[in-house]
Amino acid sequence: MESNADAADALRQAERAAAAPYIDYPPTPAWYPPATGLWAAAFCLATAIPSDDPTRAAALGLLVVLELGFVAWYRRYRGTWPRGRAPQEVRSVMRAFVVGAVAVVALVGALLWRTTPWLSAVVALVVVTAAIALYERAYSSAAARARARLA
Amino acid sequence: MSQFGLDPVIHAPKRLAAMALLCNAVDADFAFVRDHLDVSASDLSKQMAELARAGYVDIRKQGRGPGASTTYRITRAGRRAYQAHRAALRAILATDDEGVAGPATPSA
Repeated sequence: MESNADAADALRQAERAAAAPYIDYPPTPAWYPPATGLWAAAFCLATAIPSDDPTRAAALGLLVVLELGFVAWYRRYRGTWPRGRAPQEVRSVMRAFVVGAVAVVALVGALLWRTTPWLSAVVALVVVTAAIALYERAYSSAAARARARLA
Repeated sequence: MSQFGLDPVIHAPKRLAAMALLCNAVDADFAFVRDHLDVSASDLSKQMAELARAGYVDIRKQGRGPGASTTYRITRAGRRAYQAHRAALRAILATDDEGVAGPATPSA
């Protein structure tokens, strides 16, 4: 007969397995934060190209293709693509990421509007690189806490 | 469907873990699922084939030879079945709290 403990154990194992797409992943490459910063800087410069210049569409298109290529590569590298309810430790980091991303986009957008594309690009490079590095560190720590809780 | 609403296909621990994992992923590749379940390649193939036969998982194979890849994705029916199974496990916990015995332990 299955006991209360068996059912509880099955649910615990299911919870650990459900968390796996979020917390079991290979180390994020060291080049990822600066590459994202460079991408953001390039985006700032591309948006500054006059809209009647075909180079603008080509540059923006290239950046989109690069981003999609990165997502496809990262999905293969990670072996999965999480969706649905993340473990509680990771959820708080993801919420902070969304808030941070909105703040960074607002800052860089304001700079693009009020100052020069080059200044915006430099700020985007520095801020995005730092923000992504911080996020990666916070995510990694949250994932480790979730793994320990669910072990 | 067994007594208490437990799904016999999902009830086996390895398949339950696979379903829980896939329920929280767009998809997952063979190596990821194998490593998480800590099973051999042949055992994983067997367990996933069972889930696919029940219509709970789609198996997508790409290419042949060393570069080939296998990806698993939960189906809508699989998601519903998994959620019902979890609810049944929770109900067993609640029922057991009242001193009533549950169904037989799975063997796989």
